[in-house]
Amino acid sequence: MVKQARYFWILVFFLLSCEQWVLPTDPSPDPIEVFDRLWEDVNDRYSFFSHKAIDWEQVRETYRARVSDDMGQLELYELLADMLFELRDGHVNLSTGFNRSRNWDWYQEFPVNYDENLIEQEYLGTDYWISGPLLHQVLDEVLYVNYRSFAQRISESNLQVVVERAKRSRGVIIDVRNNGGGNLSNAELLASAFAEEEMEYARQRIKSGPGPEEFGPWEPMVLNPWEEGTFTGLVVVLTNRRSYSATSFFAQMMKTLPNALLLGDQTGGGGGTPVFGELPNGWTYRFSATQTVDLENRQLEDGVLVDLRLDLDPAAMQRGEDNLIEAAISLLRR
Amino acid sequence: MRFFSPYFILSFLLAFGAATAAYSQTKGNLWLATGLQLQSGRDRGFSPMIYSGNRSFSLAAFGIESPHKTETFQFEFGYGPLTNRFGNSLNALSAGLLNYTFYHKESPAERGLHWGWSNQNVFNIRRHNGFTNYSLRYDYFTAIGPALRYTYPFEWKGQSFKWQTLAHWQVVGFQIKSGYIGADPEGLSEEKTGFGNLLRAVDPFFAGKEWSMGLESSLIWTLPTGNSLAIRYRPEISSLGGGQPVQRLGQAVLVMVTIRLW
Repeated sequence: MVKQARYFWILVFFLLSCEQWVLPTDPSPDPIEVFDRLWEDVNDRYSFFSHKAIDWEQVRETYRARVSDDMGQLELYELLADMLFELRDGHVNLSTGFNRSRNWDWYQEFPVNYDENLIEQEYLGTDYWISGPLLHQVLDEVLYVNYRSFAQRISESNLQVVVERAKRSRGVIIDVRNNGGGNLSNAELLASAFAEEEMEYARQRIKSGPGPEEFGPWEPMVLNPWEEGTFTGLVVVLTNRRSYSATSFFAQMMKTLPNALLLGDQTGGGGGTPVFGELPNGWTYRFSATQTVDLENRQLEDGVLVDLRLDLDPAAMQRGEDNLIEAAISLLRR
Repeated sequence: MRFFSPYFILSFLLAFGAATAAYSQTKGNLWLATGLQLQSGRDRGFSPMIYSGNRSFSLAAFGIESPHKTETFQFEFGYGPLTNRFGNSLNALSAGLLNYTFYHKESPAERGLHWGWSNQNVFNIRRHNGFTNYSLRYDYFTAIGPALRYTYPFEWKGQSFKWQTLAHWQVVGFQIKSGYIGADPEGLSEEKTGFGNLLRAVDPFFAGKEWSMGLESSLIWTLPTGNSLAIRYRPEISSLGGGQPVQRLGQAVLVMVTIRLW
């Protein structure tokens, strides 16, 4: 018994001694370690180095020289935020609890082209319909639909109401200006209500390894018609530079449809789906890990181009008009 | 209800009786156990940080003991939230089938050291609560390897007890793991044929590069009816390499009931 029991204790000792070997302790939260972890993860999983011609090694040389283990949390945050800013990507954030870094250059240097108060006062009025996140009103026999965030879920009954009203109108305007994105499934559902047949609208690939060109295969992104019934009349989609991420995908879906056109300014981009990560000091971050191209191999990261380029006219605004909505109504009534 | 007609139940009982008669030289046992598992793990696809916590863990096992060998088929299930040291959390679920076969031609089944082999099949899935995209990751492996069982029966205050320890080490098999970024394994959608894609997603499991080993040590109190009550301590480790490595360490304490079937 005593001899054989030794086997058990040897096994227990062996198993417990494996703990450190199988599961080493957490990495150190020191600034140098934190910097290296972030730089390395971005290096391995970010998807647009080649497309944006970013020399990430050079970025490391520039910023790592400024990191020291005695620097404070705020100082480290600012340095890491500056480093991430070099990616020129709205899907890149560093979240610390006390601040969140971001890059909003994709819309800040461009015309706003949107005035929510003007739309509420002159177009939606006081008797517009609210179907979930979809605000809609009939303007000169045209259905105007305003959708402010794809993060807000559209239910099938919400969509049913819009489709039924659209069928009684001469056309539909979908205003997604200033819609910063959200959930892609909402974009697919809304676009499916205007699709007559199954249609490929883009292709996407995902990082599959640490090399800058290590991606999985291009996979088609397909839009299917909504099973509950679709509106196949004319649709005009209004976009501006603040139409971002899922809104760019929506714009691309609608652009592919033969019965829809885009009017306004190009979207802001956001064609890379962000992946999340965590640093040894508890901060979290995200950055793009995929690429999406349209049917002409143009990156959605660069924005979806409109069919009719038009800016908001200050003179029209003075008259109480949104000249983009007016142009859309004219197109649909023609 | 139509499926469970009296004819069906009668047929089943007859078939069960015939099978039992055929196993007249055997003993059949059913184990049911539940308890807590302290689990710690790291999935580099999510984070370099360790996530750990206590989660519920249960198992149900069926064992057949014949004069020369004992076979056990054990289904396991664990679920619960795990957190890292900064409070970020994920929910981890695991389900597995662990099979043992021990040979005891030269010695009695109730006592001593017996060698055999084991087959482990484990599916783990976890959802990170702080990540909006790519928040789901999973892994699965099937492997076989040697197993060891030591049983020592003893009496204390007129009651029958048994101390039993089982150990297993998985040596060779295969694994399927979430991809570099997303939940789906790499290669799963490269071609249109499902089987070809599945083969592309499978990687080998080799001891040295991958690890899975564990102990199950039980103190069993045998009741006069032949049934028994037990407590079980169950440490285990596993590590899957390649792509985004996954490491896991678990220690479970379980209360167990054994029911003698025949």
